[in-house]
Amino acid sequence: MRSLALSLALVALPVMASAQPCSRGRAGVPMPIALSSGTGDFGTTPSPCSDARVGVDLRASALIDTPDFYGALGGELVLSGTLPLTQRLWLSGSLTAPRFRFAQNATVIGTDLGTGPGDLALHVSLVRDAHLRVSTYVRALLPFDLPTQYALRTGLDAGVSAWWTLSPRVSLLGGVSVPVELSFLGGRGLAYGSVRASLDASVLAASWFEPVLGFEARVGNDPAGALDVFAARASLRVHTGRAVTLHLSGAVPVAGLDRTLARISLGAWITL
Amino acid sequence: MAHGAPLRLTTLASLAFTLTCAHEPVGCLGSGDPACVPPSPCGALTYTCASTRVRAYRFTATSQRVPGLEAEASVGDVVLENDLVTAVIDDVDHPHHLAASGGTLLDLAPRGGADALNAVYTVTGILPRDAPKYRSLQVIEEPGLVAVIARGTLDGNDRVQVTTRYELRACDPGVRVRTEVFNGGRDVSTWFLADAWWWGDRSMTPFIPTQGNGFVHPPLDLVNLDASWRVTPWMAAQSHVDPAVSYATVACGRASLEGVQDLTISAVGLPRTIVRPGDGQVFERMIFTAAGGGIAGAASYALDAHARMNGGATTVLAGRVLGTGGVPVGDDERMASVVAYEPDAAHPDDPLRGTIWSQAVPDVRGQFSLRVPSQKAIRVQVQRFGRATSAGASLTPSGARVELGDLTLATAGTLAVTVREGDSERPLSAELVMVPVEGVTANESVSGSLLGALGERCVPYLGPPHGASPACNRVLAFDGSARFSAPAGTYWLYATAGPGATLARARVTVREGEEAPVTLRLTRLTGLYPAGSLTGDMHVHGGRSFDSAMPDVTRVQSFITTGLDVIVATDHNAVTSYDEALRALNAQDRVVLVSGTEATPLVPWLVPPGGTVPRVVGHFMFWPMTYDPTQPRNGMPWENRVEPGAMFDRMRTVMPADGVIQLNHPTAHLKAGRDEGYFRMLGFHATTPIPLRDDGTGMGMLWRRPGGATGARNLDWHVQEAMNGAGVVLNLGYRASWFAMLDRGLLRGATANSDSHSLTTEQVGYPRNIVLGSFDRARFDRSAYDRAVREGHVVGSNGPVIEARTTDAAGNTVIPGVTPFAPSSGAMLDVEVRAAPWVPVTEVRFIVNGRVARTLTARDLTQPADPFGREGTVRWRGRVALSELLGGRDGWVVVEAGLPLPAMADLEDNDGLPDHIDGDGDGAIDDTELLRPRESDARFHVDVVSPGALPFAFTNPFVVDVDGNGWSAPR
Repeated sequence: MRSLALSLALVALPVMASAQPCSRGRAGVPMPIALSSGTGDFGTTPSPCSDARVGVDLRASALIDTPDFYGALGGELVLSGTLPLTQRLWLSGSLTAPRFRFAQNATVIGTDLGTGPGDLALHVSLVRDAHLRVSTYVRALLPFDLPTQYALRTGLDAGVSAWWTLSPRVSLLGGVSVPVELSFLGGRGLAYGSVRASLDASVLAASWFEPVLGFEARVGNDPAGALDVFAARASLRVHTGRAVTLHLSGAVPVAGLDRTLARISLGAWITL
Repeated sequence: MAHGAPLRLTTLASLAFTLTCAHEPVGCLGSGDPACVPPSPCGALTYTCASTRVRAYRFTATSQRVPGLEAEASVGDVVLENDLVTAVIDDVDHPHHLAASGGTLLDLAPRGGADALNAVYTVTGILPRDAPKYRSLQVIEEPGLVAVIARGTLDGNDRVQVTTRYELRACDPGVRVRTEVFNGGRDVSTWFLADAWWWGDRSMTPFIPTQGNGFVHPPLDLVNLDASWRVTPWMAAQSHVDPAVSYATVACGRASLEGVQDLTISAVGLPRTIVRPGDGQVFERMIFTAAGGGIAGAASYALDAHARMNGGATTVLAGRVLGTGGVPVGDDERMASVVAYEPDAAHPDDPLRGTIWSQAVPDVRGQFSLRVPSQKAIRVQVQRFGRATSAGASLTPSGARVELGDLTLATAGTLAVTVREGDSERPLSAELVMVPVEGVTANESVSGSLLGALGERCVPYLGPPHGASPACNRVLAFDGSARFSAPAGTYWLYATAGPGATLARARVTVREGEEAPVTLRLTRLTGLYPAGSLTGDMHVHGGRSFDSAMPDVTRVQSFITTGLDVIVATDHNAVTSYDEALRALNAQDRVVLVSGTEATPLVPWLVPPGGTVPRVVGHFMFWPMTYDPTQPRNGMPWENRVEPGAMFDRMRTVMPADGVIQLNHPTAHLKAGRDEGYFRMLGFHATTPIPLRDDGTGMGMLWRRPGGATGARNLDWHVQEAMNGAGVVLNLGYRASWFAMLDRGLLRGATANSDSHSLTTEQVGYPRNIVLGSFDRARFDRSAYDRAVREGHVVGSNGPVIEARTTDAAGNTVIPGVTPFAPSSGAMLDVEVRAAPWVPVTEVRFIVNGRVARTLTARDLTQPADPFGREGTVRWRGRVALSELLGGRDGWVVVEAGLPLPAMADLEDNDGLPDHIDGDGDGAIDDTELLRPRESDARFHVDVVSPGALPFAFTNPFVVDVDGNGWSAPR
């Protein structure tokens, strides 16, 4: 992991030299909680900071609806990274592999192991000052789902993310976006669109420890109801001081159509 | 993930398609056009013949129905037909069996054969919501083919679209089927996209060619599907009644099917697969049918199709089965059945250890053909009476066809039996039952099965247990004669004409190659039944029930041989008429037949209070009903998704006002996940009083008025079964539930019916109802008979007869019934107990308000000296003061007679109902049924005639208003 990070750093060195980092010293780059009802990083609020970094997350979700005789479990490994291009422009992306799925309909049980979709985003910094960073982005969902029966899944997400430092220890991270997921099967397509917003409040309790609390809301065009999900979320971050941050995060839907009980993520990112 | 709107982006779509790796073309999965027509299935299979005839049409007249007891087509259904097969797809508004709608494969018959299929319908899982609800049918006619396109959604999710194409081409020996399912919902789903074959039980026997299976399958456990799950190259099934037919199915585009098998239902299809929103699945298969015995006909098509699509060669093995002297042996599954199997090296003589590939019944010329994989070590074995014989061959076949030549069997032994009426010597219709003589012929030497299935404890095994006579160990000697073959051995041969006649028995020895004449004599016992009464069985199934394959003629013969006066034909979810069989037997004046139906809901939907799982509401009987074969279910309204009160209103639209509604087997258990007993579904507990209003409990639901023309309540049935068949444990539960109703003042008459489905599963007339009145069978008054039933003027019995009466305050004679009466001063209950000499009666019980108030034991009763004689029918005559029984308070009195009730206990579910008895007399309450006693036991003869039965009779209640000021219920 460290070698890979160094290799990426060497390639990006000329760019990095001219980037405006958001680094907070030991606390590293401010990162929104990267958990949503989507897959991989698609549909999550990205960091508004261009700092080069790589990350790895182990994510899981559970949906248990006993009255409906339905349950679904998911687990995936998400590899992500950010690559600055210019002072105001950078790329980010993720790959989901492997991905495990379990779905149960009464006593009919299915499982599969494969890969999830990836994503690739282009970010543009809009505001950079001491207490506020704002960027906009366009993110594409890459059709790497396997196994699949017939359909291909892709999508587009466009939005704005921001970081507002209220005090040396307290900051807010939020974003608004419009993710649209597209599924194509032959000549037929389905579009799943929503408007989502998230807001996280982080407190640097110590230079090495940062709890984060937040929420996410999604409103979509599901005929069953407009509110797709309103979820409470939290994250505990440990900044090891070697540009490595470990985190344990969770999100619990509390309202809306989303029946998932909880999503959790355990991972790390390295600021290069 | 939010559900969105459909898009048409054809360029990207094409790219998408090329990147997927599907087995079958996308078809209409890739089209948002609701009128899209799926492509033709199974393109790799082509059949050629001289005919080009194929057509599709809507069913308009019953004359268009194919032969067969399961042919259910009605006006509006779609028929696909060529010169080889006829298939019927039911109209979307004609749901049958477990399906939520029509659009299922309802009938399928080969030319020259019959339909023996209940239904085949598509599923994506095991819950009712996982079945399609089709909303439209489109008929397509093109040169050389016809098709029906059924379109709809899953019953539980209208965002999951289902489209099925049924296609028939001019030379196809079966139906091509393609089902497309599109997940337009918001959740990842696991689907088991498959065909559910609803066998029903006791009808078709499913088969898969996998080692250790064949016709034998692990018990189906819907909770633990993996234990029953098998992967197979194809599936087949055979019928056991004439005209015999077989079915088979093979997947197109893949080498195997997966699923589960059971005598009630099979489900075979695609592997269980996770399908995410926006994706879909396609399942293509072909369903074959062929005339002839065994699975060989349809299995041959399946194996050939599988080889053509997946590679591999097959060989047809042909031969002939002859008996001694070169006489062809065939056209009878009992006498010769040829099986081809790949033997297990360690057990080469046992087909059950190897892989069975095919099984055929030779035709009338003794000729048979079986298709097997080429280049495999194959054994061919001839079976008779469900057992291996020495005739057979071993080979490794290659090439298209191999002639096996003649396989010779020793001629089986035969009995030529005559039954005569004891005094007149006239032929007398009777049922013959054979059992090995204890200590002379071992059960194991004469038992048999269909390659491990259908043994049903038939000893000797004269034939498959649920078809025509001979079946299991029973033979009908209609009009006094029967000639049949049996395994060599020494037997007791019984003849019975029902509990209203004597019993005859002879010891016979069957030897191979010999025919032995036997004459037995029976006497009808006059004076046994009360004057003017008629005996009736109001719960009888025949081949039109999904769980019976009994031919009509056999069924009618069984009515007559058991000496019943009245039969109510009550097939599941269909109205039946036996007119044709009655005419064929010239028996119109020998039994009265009333058409009715047993409403048997099969689609779970109702969650009772405190429950979590959807249930059905149990079974209810309705008669009389009009048989109308132009209508779905021959005129019976759809029975699903309504509570009983609404069901009553629905059925009343096609019943006269003076008909009967009967609650069947109230505390019966579940079968295939469907409740058969309404009380058990509601959570009846024997020690908890039935509530007298809707108190929010399960039993409180009895008081609901679920809606309907008359606003009937759920408890508005007229009568309920207190005896059903022979099962002692269940009958004790029915008795307890009836007593609980009476105790609360819910006065309903009780009936006693056989629930017979075949000669083997519950014998018709055991038990029966003795309906009291002044009836004349020759001038049968259905209305008066049913009025007597509704009023409880019935004695239920599987042998003993109880005649009881008292007097009311006006001096009128009072017989058992549900109408309260004030007794005369000093009223006595006069009782006489009678029984045929072979029916043991050693106890008479007086039940008062559900408790035994007085018992007469064997020393009080008279026992006949000779069980095979005709003397000694009166077992007790006496009188008891009503005041002595009731102690001066209102109440109800029931008289019972028979053998003492066995020791019993509620060991499993703590519902106050017994679930175990001492069934073998060893003092331990660890049995679930009454076991066969030794030959020296007085119950032995009854157990031969009606296995598992405890001689038992009961009167309906005397509801006594002691002081004449209105009757008060005891609890």
